Amino acid sequence: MIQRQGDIISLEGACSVEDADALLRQIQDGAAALDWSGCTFLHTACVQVILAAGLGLRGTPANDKLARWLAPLLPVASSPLTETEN
Amino acid sequence: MNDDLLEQFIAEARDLLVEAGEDLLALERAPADKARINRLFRSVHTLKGSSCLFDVPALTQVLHAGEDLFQAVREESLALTPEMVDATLSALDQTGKWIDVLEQTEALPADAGPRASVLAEALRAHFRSAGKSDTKAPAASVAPTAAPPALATWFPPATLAACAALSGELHLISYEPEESCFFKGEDPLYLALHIPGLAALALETRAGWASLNQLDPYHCNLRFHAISTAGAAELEPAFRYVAAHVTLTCFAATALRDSAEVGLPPIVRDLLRMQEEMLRYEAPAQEMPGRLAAAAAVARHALIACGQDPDIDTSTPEALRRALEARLAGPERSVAVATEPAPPVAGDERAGGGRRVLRVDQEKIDVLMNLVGELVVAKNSLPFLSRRADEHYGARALAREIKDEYGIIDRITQELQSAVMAVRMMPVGQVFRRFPRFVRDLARKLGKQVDLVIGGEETEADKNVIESLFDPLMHMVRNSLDHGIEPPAERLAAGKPETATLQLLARQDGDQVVIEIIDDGRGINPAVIRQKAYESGLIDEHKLSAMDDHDAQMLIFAAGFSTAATISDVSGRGVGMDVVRAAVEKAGGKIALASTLGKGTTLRLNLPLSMAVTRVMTVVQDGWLFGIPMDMVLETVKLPRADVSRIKNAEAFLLRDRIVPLQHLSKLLELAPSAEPSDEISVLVARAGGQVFGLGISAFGEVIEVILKPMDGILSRITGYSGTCLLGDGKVMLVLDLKALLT
Repeated sequence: MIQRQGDIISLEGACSVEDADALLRQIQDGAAALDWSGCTFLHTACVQVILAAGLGLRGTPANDKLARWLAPLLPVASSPLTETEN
Repeated sequence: MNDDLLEQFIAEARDLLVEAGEDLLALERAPADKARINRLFRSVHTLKGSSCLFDVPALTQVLHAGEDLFQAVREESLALTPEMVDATLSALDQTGKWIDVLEQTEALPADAGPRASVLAEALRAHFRSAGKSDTKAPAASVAPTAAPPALATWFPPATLAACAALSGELHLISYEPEESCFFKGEDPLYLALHIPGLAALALETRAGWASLNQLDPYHCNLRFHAISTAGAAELEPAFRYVAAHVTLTCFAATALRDSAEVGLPPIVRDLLRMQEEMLRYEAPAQEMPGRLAAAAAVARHALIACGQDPDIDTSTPEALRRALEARLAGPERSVAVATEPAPPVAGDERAGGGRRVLRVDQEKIDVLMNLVGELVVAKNSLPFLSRRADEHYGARALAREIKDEYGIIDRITQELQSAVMAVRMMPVGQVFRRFPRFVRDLARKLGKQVDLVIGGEETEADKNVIESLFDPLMHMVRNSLDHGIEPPAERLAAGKPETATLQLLARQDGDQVVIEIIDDGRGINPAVIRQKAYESGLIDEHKLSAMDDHDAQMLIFAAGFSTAATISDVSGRGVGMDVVRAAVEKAGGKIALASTLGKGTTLRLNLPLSMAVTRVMTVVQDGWLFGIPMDMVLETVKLPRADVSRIKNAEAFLLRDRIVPLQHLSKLLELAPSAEPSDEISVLVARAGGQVFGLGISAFGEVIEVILKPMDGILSRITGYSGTCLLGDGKVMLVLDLKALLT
């Protein structure tokens, strides 16, 4: 699910193949970063949009596999929030 | 693929292959030569390393096998045998061929993969049969398979290092989903994330991303590469629905260890070591959690930064210390393997970095050369101008000034010319270096023992001359080996050493390069040659009896002559030496022969240092100006008409007790005589096609240096002229081809 808070786009829960279009439109409207801390599933089509846009991701996704394998392959947003991590 | 990079790789690869070939042959003779084996190993290692930059897995596979072999030889766990040299040479040959194909098509031929496997297997066979106990794969049943070469382009070094620390076999999974896969309900990422035993994952974009306005998110532009610890039996079912788009490659985890730059970067190592050290010191209990958290954060970030798995045990200071120690210990060994520098070799240019070489397209040099040629011609017009100033305008002072200026321009032009020539100069060694291999293979094939001695390889000559040299030399060396050098038994019987010596020597002699091919074989038997030539109708009975031994031996250069009793695939098809002679003469050179029966044969080539500038003698005939190449001119004589004797239709004259046939240029060129015949004729004594002729002309001119341009277009069909050149006054002069005119 794609949500928007100001200039941050959040990827919440499962981001399915249908969400890729929404994500692309949201990014085209202008965004500073993506926050995927609540993301549990990300479809390849969404990954393509993220890579093509070159937007950085904030946070650590809620899914282990995404965090471990995909996170290192995607751009990271310089975020003031990450300081509070343990 | 980056074209510049590929070009560089190809050029480098060719150099390294040549070096490797040379070293290999040298090692076969002197297996203890440490410097050679190190250099050889480094050549192959470098080549393999750079090949990983391109998608040429077959090439890398072969080189990797070679590298392993030489590594073992280097560590003295394996002795180099002639069979190993054979296998390696054919591997290097194949590599060279692939490089050629790569240059033309930017890809390897379709059959490269299977061929590579065969070659690599042939190399590894020696490796394994030597029974080295500590070879890299502990699993004896499976041969250590080379790591897929492109790994380094997909995975960061640290990831590979982590994988290298694993044990057993790994699988590389390359998954290229269909472009329309999303419409089939596939989710390639999901599949990739759920690969059993996933140890590393990489994403690759197939083509650049379109701008967001044009982006089609439902057109799959991704490729996945993964490394897994699972076996094929587990992996195949996972991909059963997309099997056509997945390739599995099995390789040993240890194979990753010798791929370059694997391991923790030094700065990460230092950081980890410091954290480990910090945790070792005692601290007040209340400070310990903070210290632990700080160390854990630094370590984790350092690992992430270099792409390593940041998952380490941070529960207690002790646990973290142990984890850090393990991380520092594991990859360190592999780093040591990978980066262990070869000891510096004396005289190695690359190690010293002393010489800087610029690779330039030959066309650019040719353009420069042509411009210099034009400058020479333009410069030559100044003396004409000076004369005109004096004679036509009566300005003697100006004429002298022009002459002075001419002197300066002349000097600079000459320097410029020799500088450009020097750029085009190449050492003869460029050609010679191909012979050790050639001689070795041929000698083995013929069952002969030959020691090739090469000398004077630093002698330089023009690139075109050098390039025109290889084929003639090859013919001659082949002939020497096939016909000249006897089999070992015959040599022993003749009281000669079993191993024959074949010398290939070069030296500079004035403005010529002299190349000698000397063998100590059986020599050329003039009686056999005479008989053979007579039988094949090359000479008649009259000539047969009149011919002296040397002339008979020279018959081997006649077209259609072959003495070999049986036609072998080595030489003896009746082409060869006449082709050699033609090629040498075309390059403006001469060929001479000296042979003593039972002792051996010496062939000597005289070639011009440069083909760019030709010295010609100008001659005047009935008001026309012609040039004759100086290397044909023997001498010039003035002959009283009374001394010319007629023999039937032909004219001849006596020159130092020798009858020389006389021809007249005006008749040969069918020119209308413009002047009354004088009492004295000017005769140019020239050698053409092995015969001496006298050429009657109106008057001699001067000897000048010209840039000879071959006749092209429709003019190229006119025989009798070898080309044209521009004179200082802007006139075009025809240069005669005496050989075509007289014979």
